[in-house]
Amino acid sequence: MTETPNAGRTAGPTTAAAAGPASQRPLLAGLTRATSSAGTAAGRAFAYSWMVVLLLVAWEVASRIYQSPYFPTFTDSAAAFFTNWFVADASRGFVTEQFTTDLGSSMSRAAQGWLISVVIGLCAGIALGVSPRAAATVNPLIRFGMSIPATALLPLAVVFFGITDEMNVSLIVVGTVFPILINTMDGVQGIDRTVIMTARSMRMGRLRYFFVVLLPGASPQIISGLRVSLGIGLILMVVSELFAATNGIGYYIVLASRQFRYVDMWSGVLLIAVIGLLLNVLFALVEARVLRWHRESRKRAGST
Amino acid sequence: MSSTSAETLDHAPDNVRAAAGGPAGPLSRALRSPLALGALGVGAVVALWQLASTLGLVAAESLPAPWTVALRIKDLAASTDFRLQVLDTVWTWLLSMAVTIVVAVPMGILLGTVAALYRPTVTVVHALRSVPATVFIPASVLLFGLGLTMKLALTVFAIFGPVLLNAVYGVHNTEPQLLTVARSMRWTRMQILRRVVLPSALPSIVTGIRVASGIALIVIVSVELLGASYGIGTVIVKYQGIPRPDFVYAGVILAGVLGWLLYTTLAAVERRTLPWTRRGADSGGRS
Repeated sequence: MTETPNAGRTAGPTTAAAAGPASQRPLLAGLTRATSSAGTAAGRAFAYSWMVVLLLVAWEVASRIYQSPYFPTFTDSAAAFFTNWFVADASRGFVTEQFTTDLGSSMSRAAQGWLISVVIGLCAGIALGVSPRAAATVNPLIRFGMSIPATALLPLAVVFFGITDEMNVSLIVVGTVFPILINTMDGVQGIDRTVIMTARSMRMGRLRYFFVVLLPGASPQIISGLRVSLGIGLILMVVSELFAATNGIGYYIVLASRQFRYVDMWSGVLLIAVIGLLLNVLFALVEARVLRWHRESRKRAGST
Repeated sequence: MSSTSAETLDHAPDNVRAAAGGPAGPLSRALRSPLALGALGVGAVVALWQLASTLGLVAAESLPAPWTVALRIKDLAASTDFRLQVLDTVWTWLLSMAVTIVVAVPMGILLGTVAALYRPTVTVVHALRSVPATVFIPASVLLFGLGLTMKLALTVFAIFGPVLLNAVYGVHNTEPQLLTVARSMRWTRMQILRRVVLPSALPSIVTGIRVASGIALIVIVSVELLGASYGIGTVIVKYQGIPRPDFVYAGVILAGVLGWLLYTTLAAVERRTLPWTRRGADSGGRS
């Protein structure tokens, strides 16, 4: 980043959006410089996360003013979060029994459902992507299937499976399979025609074509489908447990709210929030690793 | 997803095979049209369903016959009460989308323009977006009751992130060269915003709105299942309690029709008002 006095004219892509002479907004210009040139890791962490801290402070202040039993302060909720879910006992892995049973069952449902969806979505998506006729045959079904708000199927799932793990898992599968399937199909169909022709003229074998052309070509779309489905999977995991379950973190939250343990309820909400955050960070790391070639090739294309 | 016929051209192997395969009589050509193939697919599923229920593969309480469900769909569609409940769901959907678009899009444009705010915003929105919105259902029922306020609060929370984030990214990724040119022409900030930044950010903004439309419906129906006073979800859960599985199936199918209508209308509005965003729209995945 080149910070010249005439910043408005020659700055790089990041600051270019902030048009206009810097002198008009000394505070913002100063902040920009501080965030972009902060050498220490602490400074950089602050530049990224001060708004998160601000939000938590806002929660604390609002709950103190509002004084509602349903809306405990952040400090109380955080304290309950630590006492409910974590213990200073290395033999238990520093987590409480509640943590193991509730979070364990929730996560195993989410993982089973999502993995089944990934397998079905990828296989079906690739098959439909290479065969236009098959795609046309199931097109109305897919469109209709993804139009049904997945949670509307909850009562049906209960009718079919009763209050069992299969009920939660099947709901997660139905809700998450369509984003994966459609994105995979679109990704395969969207592969550049020149690339396909080149591969054919090189007389590439089917297996090699699959791994060298098809899969990498569709992977950016596939990954974006996986990301969307991960979020929906978590939503459905929680809803299905709120609706009908005998354990799991959603069940814990609804039970706490019925027993008027509102601070505990919020400690459950905080736990889900932390888990969701961790899963998304993990996903972003994997994505960055898998799609590194894609970003680099785009950067190269952009620089010429 | 756009027309399948255009996409067939992209896939050479099948295209070549299709061209070489057999004499193209009028019948076989008709059979190959996407419409006929689609009807075939739907017909096959209904036939399978009929087969499963006549052979008694699945208990009648779990899977009523298709004809019974069709009659119940007619019953529901004719009932005034059901129509009012659907209207309530649609109204909540419209309102939550409108509130989110009116607040989140301008906010995203502002945050995407001011570089100092870009990174902290993206961090905080990413963090909030990772939290499954449905986890707040019990708390917000306690705080806001069972009415429209509660539904709206939850839905807006669920879709605010995707819309805001897409607006921020769209503005942030404006081609720097275009901005340099615009500045060298001595356009004012408003002019640059209107002529350069907004047009180039719109495809991304529209993608965000499309993703939000799907999530909004999921969240609204979840809230209705778990205890709102009105909405299509409350009808479905009522019939599950009686229990009348045929009505539950009919309700679910009508919920699907509702979703399809909402998405199709949204896509039509999008095509009509922003014709140049089509390419960008095709590359975004619907949730």
